[in-house]
Amino acid sequence: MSRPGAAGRAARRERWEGAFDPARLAMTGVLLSVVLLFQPTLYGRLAMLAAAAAAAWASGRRLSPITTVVVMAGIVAANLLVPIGRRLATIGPLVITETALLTGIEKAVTFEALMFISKACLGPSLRLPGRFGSFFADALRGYDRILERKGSVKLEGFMKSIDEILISVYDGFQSGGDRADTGYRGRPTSPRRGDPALAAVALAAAASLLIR
Amino acid sequence: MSSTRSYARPALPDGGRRLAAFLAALAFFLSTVEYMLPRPVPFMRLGLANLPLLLAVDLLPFGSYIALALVKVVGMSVLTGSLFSYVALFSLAGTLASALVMRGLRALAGPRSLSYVGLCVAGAVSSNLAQVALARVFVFGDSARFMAPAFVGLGLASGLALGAFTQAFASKSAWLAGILSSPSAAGASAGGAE
Amino acid sequence: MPLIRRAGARGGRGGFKVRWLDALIVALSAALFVCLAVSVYGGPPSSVLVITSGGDEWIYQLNQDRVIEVPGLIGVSIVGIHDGEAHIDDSPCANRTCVASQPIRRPGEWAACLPNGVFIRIEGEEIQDEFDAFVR
Repeated sequence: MSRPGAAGRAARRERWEGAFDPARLAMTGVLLSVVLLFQPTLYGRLAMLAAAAAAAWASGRRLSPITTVVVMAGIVAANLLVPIGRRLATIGPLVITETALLTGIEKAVTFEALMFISKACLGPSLRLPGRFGSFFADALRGYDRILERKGSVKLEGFMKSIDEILISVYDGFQSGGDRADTGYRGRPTSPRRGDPALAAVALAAAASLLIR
Repeated sequence: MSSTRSYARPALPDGGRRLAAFLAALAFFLSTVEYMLPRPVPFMRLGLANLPLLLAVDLLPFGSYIALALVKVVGMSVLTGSLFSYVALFSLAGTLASALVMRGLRALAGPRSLSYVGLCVAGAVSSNLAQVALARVFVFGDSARFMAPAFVGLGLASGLALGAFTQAFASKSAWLAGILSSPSAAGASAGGAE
Repeated sequence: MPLIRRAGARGGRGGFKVRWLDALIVALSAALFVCLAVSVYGGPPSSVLVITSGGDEWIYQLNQDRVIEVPGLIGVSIVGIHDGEAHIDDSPCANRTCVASQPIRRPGEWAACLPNGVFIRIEGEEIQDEFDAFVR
C-alpha cells in the first residue's frame, strides 16, 4: 500500500463511511439511478455524471480514470459503427454521424454515471434485510474467513492451495453458529451528520426531472 | 427422473443453505483472485467465480442453487460497487441464463455422458448470449450484432478452459470429497428433493 | 482458435475422457460461432438510405422505422422509413410529385423533391435477385 494517494483515499473512505448510514446511502443510490435513467436531456445526464464522479472520488473507493475513458470511448465507437443521422465527418471507412454519435455519448455517460453512483452509494458494510440478507451476510463472513488465508495462494500449485484453504475454513464455517454479527437490525439507525446532505441530493435529483 | 441418474446430490441438513453461502464466499474470493491475475486480452476473462456455481450443479438442491446464483451476483456487485449499474444487470442476466441452462442440462444427463467441460461451455455461451442481447438494448445499439460472434467465441474458449479446470479440481479436491462423503451425505438416496 | 482449444481439452489432464454430450455441446457452440460470424461479417452490407440536401448528407438504416425532418431550400421535407421502404411523406413544394412517387427500397433506387433540393437514394450492394426484380 505504498502507492501515492492510497493514504488519502483511505482517509476519504473513513470520512465518507462515518458520515452516512449505509442503508440510507444505498437507498439514495437507488433513487439517483432511477432519476438518471429518466433524465430527459444529455446535459442533465452529464451533470449527474460529473456529480457522481466527484462523489465516488470523495467516497474513497478505488477508481480507474483510464478504464472509465476507455469504456466510454468504446461505447461511443461501437455506436458509430452503424451510421445514423447527419454526416459530420468521414475517417477512413468510418462515417461519423450525428444521431449515432449523440446516442453513443448518452449511453456512455449513462453507463459510467451509474457506475459512479454505485461506487459512491454502496459499501461492504451494507446489510440487506430478510432471509436473503442473512444468507448474504453468511457468505460475506465466509469470504472474510477465506481472505484471512489469502497469503497462501500461489500460482504454482494454485488448485492445491485453494483446496487447502477450503478445507481449513469449511469446518469452522459449517459449525460456527456466530450469526449475531451478521444482523440486519430492521430498525433505522441513529441520525448521521450526512443525512441532510442525502436528503438534499435526493430532492435536487428529483427536481432536476422537471427542468426541460 | 432419479432412476435415469447415475448419481445423487448429497443430502444436506439445512437444504444446502450453509454450503451455498460457503460456495458464494468462494465465488467472491475467486473473483478477487482473478482480479489479481494477469490477463492476456482485456476482455478475456476465465470467469473463475463461476467455479462454485458449476460445482453446485451437482451439490445443491434447486432453491439453494438459485440463491447461490443470486447472492453471487448481488455480492460481487456490492463488493465492486456496481450494483445499481448496467454491469450488475448484465451479470444477473448472464448468471441466471447459465445457471438455468447448466441445471437443465444436468437434469437431462448425468456425469457419465456430460462432464463439467460441456456444462461449462453451455453455461458460458448462454451467459454471453444473454449479455450481448442486453448490451444491444442498453449500450451498443445495432452494433451489438458485430460483437455477437466474438462473445460466443470467447464464451466457448473460456468455457473450455474453466470447465477443464473445474473437472480437474473436482477430481483432485480433498475438500469436495469430504463434502460428498460427509456423514449426512452418506445416507443420501437417489430420491432427492427435486 | 476454438478448435485448437478443443483439441487441448481432449488431450486433457489426468485421465479425463471427453463425454459424448461434451463433444456435442462444443461442436454446437463452434457451429453457432461460425454461423454468426458468417452472417454478421460475410453477408453484403445492408443497404442504407442516404438523404442529401444543400451540402449536408444524412444516413439511415432501412431496418428501423423512423420519420426524418430534412431542411431544404423552401422548407422542411418529411421522409419516412416504414417496413424497409423510404418515401417522401410530405414536402413544401407546389406540385407534390415527390409525395406521389413510389416508395424506394432497393440499392440504386432514388426519389427527389426538386423544388426543395432534397434527394433520397438507397445505397448498398446490388443483390442479384432476378425473381424478385421480375415480380416488381
